[in-house]
Amino acid sequence: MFGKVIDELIDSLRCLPGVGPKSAQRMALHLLERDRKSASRLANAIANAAEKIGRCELCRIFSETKECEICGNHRREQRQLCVVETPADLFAIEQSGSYRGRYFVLLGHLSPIDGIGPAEIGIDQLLQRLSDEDIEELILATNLTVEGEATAHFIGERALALGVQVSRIAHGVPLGGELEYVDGSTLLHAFSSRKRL
Amino acid sequence: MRTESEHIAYVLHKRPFRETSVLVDLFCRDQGRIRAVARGARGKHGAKKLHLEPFTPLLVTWRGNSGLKTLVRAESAAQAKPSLLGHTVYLGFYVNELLMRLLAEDDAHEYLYQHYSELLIRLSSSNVSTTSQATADLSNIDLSNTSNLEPLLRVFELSLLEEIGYALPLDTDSLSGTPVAADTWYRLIPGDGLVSVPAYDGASRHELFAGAHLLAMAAENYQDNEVRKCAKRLLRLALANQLGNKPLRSREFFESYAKNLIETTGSTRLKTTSPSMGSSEPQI
Repeated sequence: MFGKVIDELIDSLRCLPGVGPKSAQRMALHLLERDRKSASRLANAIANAAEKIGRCELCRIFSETKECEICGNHRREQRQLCVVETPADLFAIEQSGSYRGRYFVLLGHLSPIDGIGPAEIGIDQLLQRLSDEDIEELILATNLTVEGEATAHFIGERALALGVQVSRIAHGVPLGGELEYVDGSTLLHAFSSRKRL
Repeated sequence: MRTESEHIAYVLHKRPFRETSVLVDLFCRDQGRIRAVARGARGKHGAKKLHLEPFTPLLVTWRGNSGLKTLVRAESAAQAKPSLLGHTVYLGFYVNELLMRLLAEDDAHEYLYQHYSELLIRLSSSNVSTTSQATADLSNIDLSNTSNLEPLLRVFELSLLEEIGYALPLDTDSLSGTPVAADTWYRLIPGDGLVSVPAYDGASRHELFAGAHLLAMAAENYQDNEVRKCAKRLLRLALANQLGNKPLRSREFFESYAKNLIETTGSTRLKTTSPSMGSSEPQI
């Protein structure tokens, strides 16, 4: 409609999640009409990132260096390793400030029906780390879904066979939760893993 | 016109759809397999509004009459809840994949539904001892008890075949109509059924099934290891005819899982049969 170059820009913007034709057009026009400076900055940033960002060789999270900041940080607890499904999970744990060890990101979970097996989520790499490094405790922080549990079980078995201590994050009543509104299966878990005071 | 109806169902499979939605395949008691879109199920509050976990009986409400439905509500039904843990989950995945592949949409199978929910309960009761520490205790990983689960799967597979119109009569020669004799060999002819083989006709041994084993299967007597092996071969063949060329991924997964477990743990508990059979005790 506006010419090839703009059409191409609008079309490219649509690759972003949640951006349809209308918002793509709005973004393109905004950049061109009002904010050319930001436009070139954005272009540079995207080009840079697409070129330089790879995956951390240890934990598989995005990183511009071979080792990400967390893995390269020697002040962190080196003998604890926490397994999470996605980078978003890692950020959530980091934000809570409750954990000082290192991570391994699976980038998914076991889902045999979709053809996602151990190889696709890097379990071999994880096991290699467990046997190469001196890791005392493996914390399984996969989601509390059926697939997440299956993944945790799968990794747990392998890790135990290697003689690593394995633990699973607790599950039960959420903070601020009222028992009346907690669903039955959560309550069941809460009771079966109750703590002695 | 909008129609809403409440049904009892199990989640067979779900996959992400668009930003926050989920495409979910449900196995309903009175509608069979249906596909529905659960809008916003991946959002912050979606998980609370729509409880979509496999292996749990759900009370679901959807909109729409045919094709893709829109899920309005899903909550767990107040029933005995199967809780599959450890390797029984993998068996559950396998059964779900079978149902996904073989059931036509919008085709009710009430008997099969009943069988499915009983199967899940039996699978979950088999791992009661491991509930508290699913991952933390290696001593609980005892795959030999899966061989007790194997017949459950076989019986389910037989009733699945029957429900989708490919019943496999185990006690009748489908060509002559005579009862299966214990001392005769039989062969599976796709689409027809079991046919006796007069003498050893050059067909390789693993395409033949002993009459005695077939009769034991018909009586649901799976005590003998040989009967289990025969049942596995027969049902693999029978299912393969329905499944076509695309392999069952959860079966592949389970096989590599079982094999790996032997290697890594050096466990002999797995090897209840001679490993020379190749697929050393894949229970699927």
